[in-house]
Amino acid sequence: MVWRITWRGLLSHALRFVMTALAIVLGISFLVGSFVITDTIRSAFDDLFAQATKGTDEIVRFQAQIKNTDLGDVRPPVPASLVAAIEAVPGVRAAEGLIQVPNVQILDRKGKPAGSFAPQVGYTWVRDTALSPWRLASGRPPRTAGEVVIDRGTAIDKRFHVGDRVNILTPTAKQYVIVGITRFGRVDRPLGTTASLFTTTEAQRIANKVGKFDQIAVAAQPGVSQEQLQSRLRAAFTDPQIEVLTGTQYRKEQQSNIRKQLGFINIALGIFAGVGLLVGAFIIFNTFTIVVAQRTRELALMRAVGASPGQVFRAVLGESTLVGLIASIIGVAGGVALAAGLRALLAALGVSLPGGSVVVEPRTVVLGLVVGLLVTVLAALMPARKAATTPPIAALREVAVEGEVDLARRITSGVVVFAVGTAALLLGLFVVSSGTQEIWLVGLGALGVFGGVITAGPAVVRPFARLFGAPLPRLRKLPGRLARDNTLRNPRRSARTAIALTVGVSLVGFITIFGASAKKSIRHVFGGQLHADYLLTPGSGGFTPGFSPDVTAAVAKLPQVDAVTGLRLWEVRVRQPNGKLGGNDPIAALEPSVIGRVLDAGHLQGNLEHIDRGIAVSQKFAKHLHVRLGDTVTLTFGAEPQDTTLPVVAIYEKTSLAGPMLVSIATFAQHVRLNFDFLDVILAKPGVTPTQMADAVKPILASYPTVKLEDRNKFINDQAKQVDQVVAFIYVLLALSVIIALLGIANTLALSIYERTHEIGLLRAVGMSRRQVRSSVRWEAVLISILGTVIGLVLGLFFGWAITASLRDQGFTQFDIAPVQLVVVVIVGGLAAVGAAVVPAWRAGRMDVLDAIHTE
Amino acid sequence: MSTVTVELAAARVVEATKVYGRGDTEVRALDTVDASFERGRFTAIMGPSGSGKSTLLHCLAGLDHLTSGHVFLGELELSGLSEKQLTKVRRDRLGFVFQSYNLVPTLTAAENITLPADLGGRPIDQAWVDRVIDVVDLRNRLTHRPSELSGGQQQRVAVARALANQPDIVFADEPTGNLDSKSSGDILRFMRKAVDEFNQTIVMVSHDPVAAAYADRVVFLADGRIVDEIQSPTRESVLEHMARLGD
Repeated sequence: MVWRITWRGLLSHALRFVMTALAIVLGISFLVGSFVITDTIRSAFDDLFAQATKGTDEIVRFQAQIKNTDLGDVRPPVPASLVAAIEAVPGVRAAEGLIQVPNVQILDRKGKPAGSFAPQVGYTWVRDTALSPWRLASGRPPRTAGEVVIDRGTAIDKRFHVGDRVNILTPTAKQYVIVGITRFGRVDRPLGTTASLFTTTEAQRIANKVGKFDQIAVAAQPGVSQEQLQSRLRAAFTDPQIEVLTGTQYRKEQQSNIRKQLGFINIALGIFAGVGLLVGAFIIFNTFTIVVAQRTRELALMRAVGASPGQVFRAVLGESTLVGLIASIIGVAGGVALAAGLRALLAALGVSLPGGSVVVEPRTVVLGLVVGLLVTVLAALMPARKAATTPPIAALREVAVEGEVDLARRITSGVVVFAVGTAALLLGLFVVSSGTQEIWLVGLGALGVFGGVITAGPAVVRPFARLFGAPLPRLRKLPGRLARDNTLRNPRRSARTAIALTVGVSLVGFITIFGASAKKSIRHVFGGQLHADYLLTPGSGGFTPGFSPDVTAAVAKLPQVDAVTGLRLWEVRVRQPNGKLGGNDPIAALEPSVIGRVLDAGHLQGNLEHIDRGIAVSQKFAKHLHVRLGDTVTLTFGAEPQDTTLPVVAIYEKTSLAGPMLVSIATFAQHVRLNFDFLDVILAKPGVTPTQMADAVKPILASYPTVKLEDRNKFINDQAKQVDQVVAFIYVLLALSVIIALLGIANTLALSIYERTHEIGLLRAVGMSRRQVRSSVRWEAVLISILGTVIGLVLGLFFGWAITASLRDQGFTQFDIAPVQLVVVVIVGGLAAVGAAVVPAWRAGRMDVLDAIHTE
Repeated sequence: MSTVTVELAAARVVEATKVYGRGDTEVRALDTVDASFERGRFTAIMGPSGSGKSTLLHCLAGLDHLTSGHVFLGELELSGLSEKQLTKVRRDRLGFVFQSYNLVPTLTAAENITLPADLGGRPIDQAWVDRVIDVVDLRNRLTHRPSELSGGQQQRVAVARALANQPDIVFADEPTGNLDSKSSGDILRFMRKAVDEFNQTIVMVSHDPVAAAYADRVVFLADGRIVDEIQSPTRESVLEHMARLGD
């Protein structure tokens, strides 16, 4: 019986539940979509690694010195002589040294990079087919330093054939002859990457690893297992630095690395899905509360004829369960469709994932269904309890309304919750320094702040609607006044509806302010600490981290150039006072003779130009290491088995640009086998205008089409613009929760209008026009939206200030409240509300006057 | 039927007092009322607006609580029951007909009629239900939703629901208040028939002398007290008593 009532209740109010369900559908689609796309990518990578290492039985390499840098794990290369030693071990059929060079760009016939978003990689051509996934489609392997084999995908795209000449940035520009075109297993190219395969010596030269290999791949003789061979190799090479992995172990390691990175993406996207679902939960709570209030008489009647509170509770909760289940199923399907769409988009961008379809893991489906169902049911719990406590006598009362609000109590408890939340937030940001504690405090603090606002919300509605609604009666006469009064009519409902929007908007406000502050800080830091006339940058495209030092050398020779320095960045691990290696710390390298003129590092001890003989460290880092001028710092660059000890030649104050450690380019090149500069900073000779100098630099760049020449202002603007890209991306992700909140406004209005049918009929009967009815509904939506938006922005402002201030040490020296953007957000919020009100307003205006009057 | 059971009241109130509000706004809806309603009889409660007649009915039916005094249903005292026990009493032993909004709008007429039994998870005495449906003449309206029925038909469904349960007592609160005279007559005749043929006990609140004339007995309330009573009323005798009350 209870289920029949549930089911009928659902069918008879289908529309309002469609709106509610939509909130869950969107949230679950997002969640499921993010899992499906990352699973699809992961599976593509799994296949890729499986393919690449199919015939590899063992990998021999040095242990990693530094893990999880931007360029992966860093380990010293092994000597080439190790290959012959391995081949001598019984059971080894073949051993091949491998080299992999990031940042090897093939240029097309117009001089543009042939690759797109995916990595552009150089390899050694491996002769043993069991140890290489590459299979020649035409031509032959490279035999000389001037010969190259390229992947078939690039060859087809850019119309290259065997025998053609091709320019490749290795990153130094060099012309090669294409002697072969190759496929990767069965596909033309793996995941949209471009591949150039060189002779072993050429690859070693490019990679700055002459006489060395990254690692050695080994194939076993038939009948020798991976485990057997592993123990033989381990017995043969007892150097503790050498590690031997079976092919299976190696594959697992590669796959788990990808899994980890994709896991971060999942968490990041999961947070946005979570915010969206939180807002959705709020809307469900609101809808069910309103629906329960509207059905008071029906519920009371059931109680009067003998339904127990439990039965009423189950009937309402049953409705939410059904809504949640249906919405979750649609959401899961939507998520899969979303991922399929993304996959198609990636393919259009040149990164085609192999396999016929997206990967839908059982856990994704289960997660989507469980989360969707739980959110819906939990959100409906309180309204269902409220329904269960409906007194039977309520069936006999004429009108049903939601209970009145005890404003004083609400304000008090709201303020208390808000204060506790704020305290926790500030404590986490400014006092506690333990990572996990900090995250918990900040997270719970933010929840407390929201909780306080939610609690006190209804008390705020009245003064707020009076304030912002004040001009309405003059602007829109009677409809305006009705809009304002209707907002005030049920402050709790208005507050709940508005606060759904507050959640999303506060994050929008926070990101806006955070982004604006970041940009201002970047301008401030670069503007204050970087001296330059012009800069060279690797240009756009995330997979081109640097350019050839040959460019820097050529620029240095120009008569118009006074000084130039490349900039290189790396991660190192430093011996701590306790003798152990610390975590990863960034290090920068510059030319000692130029550094003092391009970098303002604040108050100095010693001389920055002496970094040709040692290392400069920041005051803060020196204090952390307990070192003073003249002491030594011991660190590992990762690319060699042994530590490096450098004397401290300077201690500087400002870290925003320089970071904790500075060394010379020469020191860097000696220890790090990285063959490119990240940036060049150029100063013009006195008497030469920067523009004249730029004109002189340009011809050098003819062979380096990706390198960009920018003056200082343009460079600083570009750096700031990168923040805009991140902010824009987050806006897109936050749009989810804002859209869900707007659905909530539309739903609440629709429910309120249904409730006021009789009243609207009366107004129409005494002469109110349809247009006036619609206008009144629209303005009510605008008022609610502005309420939610303004509260959201105030919270966003607070979050933005708190977090920016807490990151002062990380270079967030400036705070910008971005007034223009915030006003834009309010206006957009108001306009979006007009959009949300379209359907409810239309329905209100369309109502038949006589029917409406006769409705009870 | 033995005389003992006939004499035992189906429901009674003892020193029933109900006070709304406090201080200046205090209203005594019921003021130490004693009344009893015999089994197998049709009693009408009458009185002007605010006389407390609806309050008396609601308290008798366990829908509302007395401020002081006692309510008995047979030998069961309602005043001391928990909400859970009251729910069970309403479901299993009482029937209700309200002035309006008697039916769950999402259920069909047939489903509304068997609602209390379904809620209790009890088997339905189909033969009895069929008989009731025939008495109220709803056979060809069973699959309709309330919104597809006329006001009179809706009230007939409500009466059928109240009777389908074979309750100890049926409470009717202005059951014909929203109906035209023809539909009112139908409803009242069905209630009369239920008393005569099924030996049903009915207590009805009404302000309509025509409706009251269908009852076996009329109790008059004014200002929260029972002020008068007639047996075997006619429209004229009721009007006459009402006129006297107005003085």
